[in-house]
Amino acid sequence: MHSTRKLWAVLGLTMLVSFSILGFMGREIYLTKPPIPSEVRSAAGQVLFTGDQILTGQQVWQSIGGHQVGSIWGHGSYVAPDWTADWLHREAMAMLDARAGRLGAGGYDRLDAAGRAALRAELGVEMKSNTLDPDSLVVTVGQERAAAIRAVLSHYDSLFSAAPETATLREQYAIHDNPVPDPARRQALGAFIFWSAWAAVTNRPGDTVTYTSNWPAEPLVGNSPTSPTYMWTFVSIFLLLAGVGALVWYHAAIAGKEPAPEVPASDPLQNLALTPSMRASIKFFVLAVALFLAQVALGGITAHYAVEGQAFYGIELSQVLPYSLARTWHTQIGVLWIATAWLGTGLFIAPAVSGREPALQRFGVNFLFVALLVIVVGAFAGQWVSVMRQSMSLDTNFWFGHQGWEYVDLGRFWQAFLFVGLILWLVLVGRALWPALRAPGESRTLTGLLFLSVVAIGLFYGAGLMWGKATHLAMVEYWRWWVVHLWVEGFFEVFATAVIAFLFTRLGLVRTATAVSAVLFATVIFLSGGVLGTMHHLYWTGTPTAVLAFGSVFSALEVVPLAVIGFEAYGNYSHVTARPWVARYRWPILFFVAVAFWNLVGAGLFGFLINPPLALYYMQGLNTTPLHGHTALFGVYGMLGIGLMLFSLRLVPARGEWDDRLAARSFWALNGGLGLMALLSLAPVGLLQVKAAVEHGFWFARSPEFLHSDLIETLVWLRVPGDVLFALGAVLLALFFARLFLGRREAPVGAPAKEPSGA
Amino acid sequence: MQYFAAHHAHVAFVATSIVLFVLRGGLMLADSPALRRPVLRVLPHVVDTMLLASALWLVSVLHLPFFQTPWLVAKVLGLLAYIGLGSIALRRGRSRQARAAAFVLALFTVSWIVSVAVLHHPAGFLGLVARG
Repeated sequence: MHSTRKLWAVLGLTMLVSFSILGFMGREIYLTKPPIPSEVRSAAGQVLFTGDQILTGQQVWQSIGGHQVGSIWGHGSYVAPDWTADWLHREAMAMLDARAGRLGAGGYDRLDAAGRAALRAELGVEMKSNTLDPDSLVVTVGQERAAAIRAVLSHYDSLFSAAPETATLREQYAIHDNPVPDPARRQALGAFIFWSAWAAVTNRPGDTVTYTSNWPAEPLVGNSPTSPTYMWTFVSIFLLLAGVGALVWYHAAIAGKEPAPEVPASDPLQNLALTPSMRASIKFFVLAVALFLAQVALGGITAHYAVEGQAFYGIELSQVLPYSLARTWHTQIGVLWIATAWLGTGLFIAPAVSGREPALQRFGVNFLFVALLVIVVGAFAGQWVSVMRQSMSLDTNFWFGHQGWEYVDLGRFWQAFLFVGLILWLVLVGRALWPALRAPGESRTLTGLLFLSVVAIGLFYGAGLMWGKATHLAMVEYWRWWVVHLWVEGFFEVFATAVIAFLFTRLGLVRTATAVSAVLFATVIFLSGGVLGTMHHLYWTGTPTAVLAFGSVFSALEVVPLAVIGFEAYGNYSHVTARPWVARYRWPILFFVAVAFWNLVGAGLFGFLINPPLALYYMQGLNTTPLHGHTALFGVYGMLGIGLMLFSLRLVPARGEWDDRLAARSFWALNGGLGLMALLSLAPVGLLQVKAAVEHGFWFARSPEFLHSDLIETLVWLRVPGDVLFALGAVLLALFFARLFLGRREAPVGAPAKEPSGA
Repeated sequence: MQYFAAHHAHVAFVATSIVLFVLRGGLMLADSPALRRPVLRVLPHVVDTMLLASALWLVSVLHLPFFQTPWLVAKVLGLLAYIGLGSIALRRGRSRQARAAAFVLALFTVSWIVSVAVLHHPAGFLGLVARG
């Protein structure tokens, strides 16, 4: 117990220090964020944009789906361009062409290499110099640049209307026709995109680095990686290797020192009595599987839009379900079904652990279920109205429509509602666990740690309420990643480790004392890297260089525990054969083994691929991101959700048949499909894009010339085998559920399981 | 002038409706047979119909465009939740405990709706946690 107490102290101290630094950096980001000019004027005094237009434009961009239509500062989706890079490139080209024209060349491309280099050098100096007046906040641009800005603005005005001259481009970008019918809103949208590009090319006052640390790569204006981008990359790789070495040493030192547990002769959970609230929480699992199927279908549609921008195999789908909505719902449902599976598991196991059914527990469970349904239906309806009708005011859109921030796109009203729902979940799980939390003994620590991760998951969603409808982009990104990163790379990891260890101790497969110190140790390691690792998402979002330093170093440390997760995976797998009765749990346990596998491959390897500053400088917003996203989010947390549901359902005497063979097929189809999706399509497309970004600038890697080239389109089509296999796995899982709940009655409850198959 | 009439009527019906709901909730908690008296079965529906009519009157007098007025959308969504919870509290709830819990939640919801209306802000008194 003594070492446990020490570990708790270390954990507390780590949290205190990490959150102090993260909070302090939030203040730094606030103080050094790119200013929003009060006006942008030409040298002749004509007003091009006002500050109000820029902020309104941000809201317009949010209302059409924001991050779900192209990206800004590299954050968002991947079929339409990165608007920052696209604007910057178009503005630079317009100026270069004008200047080449003055030299009599007829166009920049007609000049020889020396002539082009001279024009580029001149342009870089002009565009990078900061003309913002610190008192009046007025930005003044030369007449030639003003003309270039007007030209790009009119291109954007056409692109977001129904104009026929940009119809092909809209089709290639997977944007439906006339996404912003109001011309005034289109002008504001242009102002916002201009501002994002202005911040990306303008040096900070008295500095030689732009507000976005020279991101994106753009040879025309001389945007290239800064020296801290190189230096912290080297430091982070060094620290990763040092961390892995230290952890391997630690494992070698403790391996085999712990006595193996005496595994019980029969299943300790066999005769578990089901309380009314436990029965009520089973419907969460059914909802989770239904949502999972919907997510897979929407994923197929979203992927298809990469080759046929406004249609699905010839059907004009974009008139009712355009790319932006399909992707919004695909990402949103991904989080929702996994959350539903976990919520259900929490509600299911809490009374089982404490052996007590608190008053009104079933009412609470049913209430939460209805509230979740209302949130899903209400929020999605609001998003549809927002994107398709554009009929709401921008204020109403913020509250009930589409917020446009990836993974937290729900309107604020629904977001607040979801937060209340998560708090209700905490209360329900907490009160059911309370007796177990108070009972003395070793298992209390494990229950406590599990409950703490539950508390953190609930409360940290609150960070998503920290921005308002017109908050500065840099600050929204800061708070948005509090939710997305701290959830996914912090507390979800803790929950995953704690819940799996917890279930194994309940089955008697792991000694409680061993599990307690292992889980606490893992928590310290995960969170010491995870909390400050948040900043690796913020390298290019208008932040100071210190963000780059903290983000790169600590996110490298995040990978350390994932690199040695094989120890855990092997340990888990070996449980299957510990006693004959454990075979009952074979498939839930194998899903837990898959969690470890994808933690290594999807989170660790593909995560680190895009993690160091120099890598992310070129890879931000390319297919290397969904490569990490799919393999980590589904690979780790999706697999965990399925494993937890299967485990819980194994304890329920079902009406139908527990079909091990179906579970096995689903398992292999999901894993194989995910692997094929990653290796046949996402990885090669991503890496070819990186090459394109390094050679020609970031804009090119996301341009239609490149994305609709034969090679890339072929590679996108190569998603089909993997995606089909994956979808088959999802259908088989649904079939498994259907058999379990609707099929013929199984042999008497408690009878030995059927011979396990597959493997 | 018409605005004052509509507003006054609306607030009066809101107050009456809430009083009746609290009364019926109290009777439900006390398991009183008075809950089934005809006057308590019919009167709330009459009042609520008038309430709804006065709300529509008020919206038409003020020329409030629904989708341009976030707090109005919030009120309507809150109203739907209030109706659902109220029906669990007074009729559908299976156990007394469940009915009591739904009653408390309904009172919370209706006070939130009132705060949305008074503050003209879609978060109502929840503005402490939800910025906008």
